[in-house]
Amino acid sequence: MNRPGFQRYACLASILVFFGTNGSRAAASEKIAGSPSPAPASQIANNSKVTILSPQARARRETAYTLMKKQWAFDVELWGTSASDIYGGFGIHYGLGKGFEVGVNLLHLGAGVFNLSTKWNFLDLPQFALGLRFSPMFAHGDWVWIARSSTLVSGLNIWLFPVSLQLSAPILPWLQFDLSTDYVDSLVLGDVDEDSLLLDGTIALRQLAFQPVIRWHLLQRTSFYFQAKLPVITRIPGAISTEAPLVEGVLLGGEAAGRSSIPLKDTYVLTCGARSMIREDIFLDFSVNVGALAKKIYGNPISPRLQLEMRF
Amino acid sequence: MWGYLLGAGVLLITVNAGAAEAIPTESPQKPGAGKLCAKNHQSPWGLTIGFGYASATSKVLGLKLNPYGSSLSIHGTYTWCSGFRLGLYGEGFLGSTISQDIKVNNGAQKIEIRARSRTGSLGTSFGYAQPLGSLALHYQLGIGLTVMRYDFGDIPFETLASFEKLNGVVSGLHLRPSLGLELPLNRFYLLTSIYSRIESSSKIPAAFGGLLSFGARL
Repeated sequence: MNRPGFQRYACLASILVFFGTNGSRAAASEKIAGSPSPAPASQIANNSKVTILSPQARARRETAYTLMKKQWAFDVELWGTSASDIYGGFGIHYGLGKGFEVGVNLLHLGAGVFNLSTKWNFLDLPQFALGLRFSPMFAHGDWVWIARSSTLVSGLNIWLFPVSLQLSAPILPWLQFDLSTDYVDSLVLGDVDEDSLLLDGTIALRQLAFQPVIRWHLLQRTSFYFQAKLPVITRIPGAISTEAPLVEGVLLGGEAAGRSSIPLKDTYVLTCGARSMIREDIFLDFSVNVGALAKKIYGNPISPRLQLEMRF
Repeated sequence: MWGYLLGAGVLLITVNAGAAEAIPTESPQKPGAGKLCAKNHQSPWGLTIGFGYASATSKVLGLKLNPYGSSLSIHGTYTWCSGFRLGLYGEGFLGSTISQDIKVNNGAQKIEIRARSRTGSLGTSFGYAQPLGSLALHYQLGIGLTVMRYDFGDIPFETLASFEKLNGVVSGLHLRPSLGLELPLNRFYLLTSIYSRIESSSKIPAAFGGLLSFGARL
């Protein structure tokens, strides 16, 4: 029997509170050369010197950065490979100020999956930034109407607790490194098939992964990036069982068909793509995912990913 | 393999172009600036003919089919000053034949088949051309219809997998996201692109490929 590692989250949160203070972030923001003062995004939108590196326009995915205060972001996405954007998403995000943002994936919500996201950019220096992302997810099998007829989620209750510590280092005007350390804990009540997407798609698992990203910024409006998702530990939680019969309300123990972990070769994803700022408030992102995970999810080892984002 | 090589070529060209064109952050371009506008005395109408290669990246109901291979395509576009473009395209693939052993009768028997298939498609494209120095980066999403002709040859069965006939035609919708790099040459332009094909029909495999196109502004 397993429980979510709340102690681990509490410990991690304590460390981050120690290192990250709102004061340091606000002071650091003012030091950014050429960056606007921390005014609401609506006032900054008129600034014609907005580039893809500006605070109101820089990439938030797999970076430490968040939306500015009172800034909204709407994104439409197709063919993601992580639990928060699998198959796609229609996300709404809002910047609360002091580096905080909150969001929800309405596409998942419409399908019966509750998928919230919170992110805190608690350290923002000119050449170094840190952020913490927490995006819990809950799905009750009978509410997921889109898959109700299948055995994928029937009778299941799934909790996911993904936490990411994200580092961004724009070391040159045209070059940026990012490193995301992701930990996902999951709790599944019910019976899961061995070849279920929950296992093979590495959704309902316990996983520690590193995601290094290299971004090459070109001509102020376009970035090319190469990203690798490298799950160094992927374990099947004991709460998942493929052998024991389902007993409602009881956590089932045991391993899935004798498997207790999934090797890196079955979970890695390599991504290369481009992100462009079409206007100061519209962004396009196209990437290609290569790897075993893309094949497990989409039946295709080379799968595209598209995102259109609008910020106001 | 050729699709991957073309894709790698696109990335290399892009990287080299970027290295040459990277400029400091103090001089951003104006939104929509570029050489892709009718106001710059260039026709918004464009026509491209492309040659490429694509390969199936998924199996179909346990069968290996590759109805892609070498391709010839034609693409007509209209580009607005903002960089958005709308187009119509047609694409034909020569296809290929794949020999394979398959299990039948619940795995009790194994037979060899030669799966011959080829495909063609028509669609509408929505895109955006982002100026990138003297080049332009093309984001594009195509939506259209795919028609695949297949032939499994003479085998002692009337059906195979979920194909009702041993030869025939199946069709379905496809999505075709792509990323390309355009090199303008006066009225003409050269476009290299990579693309992926997502098929709605479970009988048509997904694909990944590359395309080298020659275009003219009409």
